[in-house]
Amino acid sequence: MEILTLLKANIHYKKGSFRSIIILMSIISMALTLILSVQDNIKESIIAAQERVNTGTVLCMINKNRLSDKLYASIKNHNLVNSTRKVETIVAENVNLNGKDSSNSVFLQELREDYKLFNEKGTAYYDKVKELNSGELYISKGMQSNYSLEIGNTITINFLDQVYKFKVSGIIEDPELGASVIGWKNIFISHEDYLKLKTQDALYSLSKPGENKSALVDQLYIYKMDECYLTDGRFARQINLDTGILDMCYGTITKETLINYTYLFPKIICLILTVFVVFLMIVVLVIMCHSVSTGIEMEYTAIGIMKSLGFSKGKIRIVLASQYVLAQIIGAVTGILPAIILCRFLSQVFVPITGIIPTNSVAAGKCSFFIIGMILISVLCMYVITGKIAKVSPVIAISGGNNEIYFDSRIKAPVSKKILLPSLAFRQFTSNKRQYAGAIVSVSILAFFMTTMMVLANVITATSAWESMGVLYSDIDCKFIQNIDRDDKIVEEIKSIVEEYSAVEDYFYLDSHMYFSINGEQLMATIYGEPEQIKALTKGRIPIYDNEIVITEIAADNMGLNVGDRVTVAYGDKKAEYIISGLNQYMNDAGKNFSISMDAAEKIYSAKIFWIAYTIEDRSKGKAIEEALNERYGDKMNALFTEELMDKEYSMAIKFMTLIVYVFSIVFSVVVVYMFCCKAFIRERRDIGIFKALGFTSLKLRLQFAFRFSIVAVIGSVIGVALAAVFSGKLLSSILRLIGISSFKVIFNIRTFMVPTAVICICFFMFSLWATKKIKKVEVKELVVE
Amino acid sequence: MKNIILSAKKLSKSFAHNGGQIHILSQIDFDLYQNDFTVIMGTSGSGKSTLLYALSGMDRATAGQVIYNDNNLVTMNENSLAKLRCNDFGFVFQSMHLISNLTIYENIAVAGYLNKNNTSKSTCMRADDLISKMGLYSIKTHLPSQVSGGEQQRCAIARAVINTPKILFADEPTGALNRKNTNDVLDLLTNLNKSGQSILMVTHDIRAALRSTRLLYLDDGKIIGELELPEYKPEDEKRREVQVNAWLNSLEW
Repeated sequence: MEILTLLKANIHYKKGSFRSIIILMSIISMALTLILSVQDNIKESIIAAQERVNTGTVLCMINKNRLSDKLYASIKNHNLVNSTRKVETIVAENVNLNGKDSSNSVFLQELREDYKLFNEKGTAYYDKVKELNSGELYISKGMQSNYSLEIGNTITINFLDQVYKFKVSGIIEDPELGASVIGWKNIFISHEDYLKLKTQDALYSLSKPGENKSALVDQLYIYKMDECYLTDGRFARQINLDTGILDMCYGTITKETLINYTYLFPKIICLILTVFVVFLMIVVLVIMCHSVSTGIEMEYTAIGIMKSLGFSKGKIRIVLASQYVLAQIIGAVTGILPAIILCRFLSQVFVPITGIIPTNSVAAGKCSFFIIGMILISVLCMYVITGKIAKVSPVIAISGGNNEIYFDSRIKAPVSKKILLPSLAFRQFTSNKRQYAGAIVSVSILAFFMTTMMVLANVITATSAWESMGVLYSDIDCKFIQNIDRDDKIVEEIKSIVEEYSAVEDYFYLDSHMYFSINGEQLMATIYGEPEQIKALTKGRIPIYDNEIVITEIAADNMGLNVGDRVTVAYGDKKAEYIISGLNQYMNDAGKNFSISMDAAEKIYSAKIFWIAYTIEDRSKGKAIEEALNERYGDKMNALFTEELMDKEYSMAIKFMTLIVYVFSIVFSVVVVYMFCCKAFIRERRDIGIFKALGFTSLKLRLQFAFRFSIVAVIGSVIGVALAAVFSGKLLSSILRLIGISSFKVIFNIRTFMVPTAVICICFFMFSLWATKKIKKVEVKELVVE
Repeated sequence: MKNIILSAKKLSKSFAHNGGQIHILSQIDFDLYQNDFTVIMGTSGSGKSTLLYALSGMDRATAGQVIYNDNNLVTMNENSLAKLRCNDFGFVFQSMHLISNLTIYENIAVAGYLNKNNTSKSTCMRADDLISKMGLYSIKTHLPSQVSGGEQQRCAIARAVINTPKILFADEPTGALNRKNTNDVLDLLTNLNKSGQSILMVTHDIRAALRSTRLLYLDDGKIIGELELPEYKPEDEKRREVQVNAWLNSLEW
């Protein structure tokens, strides 16, 4: 009962701290519940959708004429294979989507069972999928996002010298290739149209019997045995080693990889936000522990009196800690309630990227685990901190013998008339540094994250950063409808046209991205015209000889390879041995790929040019170059000027995430300032009265507080920005490794560190000015000893 | 003829308590004269400090007027009162109330810095002068917690007079001091008065009251007695003590 009485009194006396912890905890619990719920909902929905459409362990895209009966039988009869399934498709390379050319292969096929159709708003699925009429097609959500397509838009397919026009009549949920991060796309057409295209393909093949150019591609699903405990990747490798199927394929992808790719972007966003929330948890712990610690010093006398009344150390500890634990519990509960409502809205944010509508359930178990864990950690911390209660002597405490411990300044900056308020504020700060340590640590953590988000946001517009992280950046892209020979005179002609408008800074030319196998494992190969065009090397050197390749760090790690290792590269029935001359970064296929020069690739593959890209000096001429090239060579290639470095969805997502981090940081700043101001106000009430008696106005005293908190903000920001300069690259590299960036290029400019510092300092100044409005109520007569 | 520097008219102060009103000051009329060392005495709870704070503008009266320079302090806004405290009034508290994280020198100088009429240089010169006069030179870089109560109170007086206030208000300035320190502080106040400083002091210490030139006695929120005294001289102390004691006895002190 006595504990309850003291607890009530404590809460009343320290309303500011109590409220602050409730607010901070409720923000954390809300954010955590949202992040964990959205993350789980998306992943579970992807897995459930793939189960529903019966996605195989491995999905092989193989030209129909390369899948011989013998090969198919060897797969079906493999001891690790449970079953197989084939879906016939027609691959189209030259597809124009509402004015934009498709950058990847498109697989045309008839509508499949178990696929769902989005409603007009894209917020739910129709109960039944409407049958397609001739001239209509369904596209996936990812395709809609990537090419900004709407229902009613036209898609033009240039197929074997014939032009077919289709109207988009709906958006379908494609759990396999429907995510915007996956390049290959399925398009669903009517039975009638499919037969028309298939006939066209057959006629073309008959007319050119030697060319073997049938566009019929089987999507071959291979299902592993239930008792096979190999990962999907290892399973695919084993099947390939035993049957050679992957080497014959146009491309393959495992179920695990499909899930990973579909889930990739939400996972990264959620991971960054989870790390941020974990840091916020640390901020709350720091603030709480600091508040308890300084509270003991401030209430030294009260604790001494309690001890003299017979309260044990344990009971006093319970009184001090239970206030904070109670605030945490209230905060956690109040945070979960809005999260349940917000979860519905936030889940929708990722639909254009994943292509699947997630469920709206709340990850109650996981959230409770984290929150209970945090409360337990805070109890443990408070148990350690309140240990110093044992040292409080009732006699010394009651006689006020601890006063001098508040003022231990060794920094003697003079108080000056010219800058009276800032100099007084600095003195208040230096003479009471320990009181502000918690606030400085909190600001540092917030500034660290705000700066890290700035670093991430900088990349949106920094071409140099993209290049160094292995993105093929160019201003003008020329992609050929039919790959051309390396010595084709058109290469020089295109360059001349470009140079008529602007000087060329850099250029590269590539074959189509192909899938070769390295030591039996399929990897995407980027075939460069010249080895010098291979960029973003992190180790070793570019290939000099035609028996050398460069592999990405992530692929090398996965396969246990390093510079100097010998590997067997195979394509179809050809194979050759190569030496790894270097490691690099390249984001395609989530960083799992390798680079090879055309000369080196010739041993196993006949390399041609698919893509020529130029970086120009005068970007303002980009559109004119695009138009000139398309006018001159429109029948042979599509030229495109890169207007935006990053897709709108991704740059929006990064900006949105930056905004979230900033908003959370600002809210945390308000609460931290409020809490520390409340404490400082209680502690310095007498000083405020003295200053008022000397003639200081309330505004001057509030400004003095604001200057003091600005000092805290500046110091915290400087520490945070410095930490970000050292660690943000490492943090982002470890998170963005998921999308193939193993070494994040940090770009620091004045804006990077000025924006977070300015935001925090302005917030601290303004909020402390607001939080100290109670100073008005302090009257000089409070100093009177009656 | 003495000049009135501050006057109270029908000054009242009351508090709401348990649904009723407690009257601390009742309709007080009072004039404070220039260059006087006025002391208000009274029993505990008689309203001495309340009157001092109402007269100095540190607290607002419930009714009546406090006129200073033709302005009524009761109706003045906070900023004007702050300006008055900075430029025209000095205040010495019983509990010294020094700023704990400023040195003795800074505690004195900070009040001077606040005054817009002072330059930084003049403030420093005045602070140095006061430090010397108050015998604080050797401890001027010390923090308040590192010096004695008497030294703290001398510092508080120096701080109160750095802006050469028109009136120095003192609330039981010797209440927390030992005999030696009490005498030091009273000597300082006496010397200040002799140099022309108007002082209004509240005390229940007869030794402090002996230093005054005018004594007022407050009982139950009303001034019930007044005694004029000549300027204090140490050799007259015994005679003054007898006179004051007799006066206090007549008021049933």
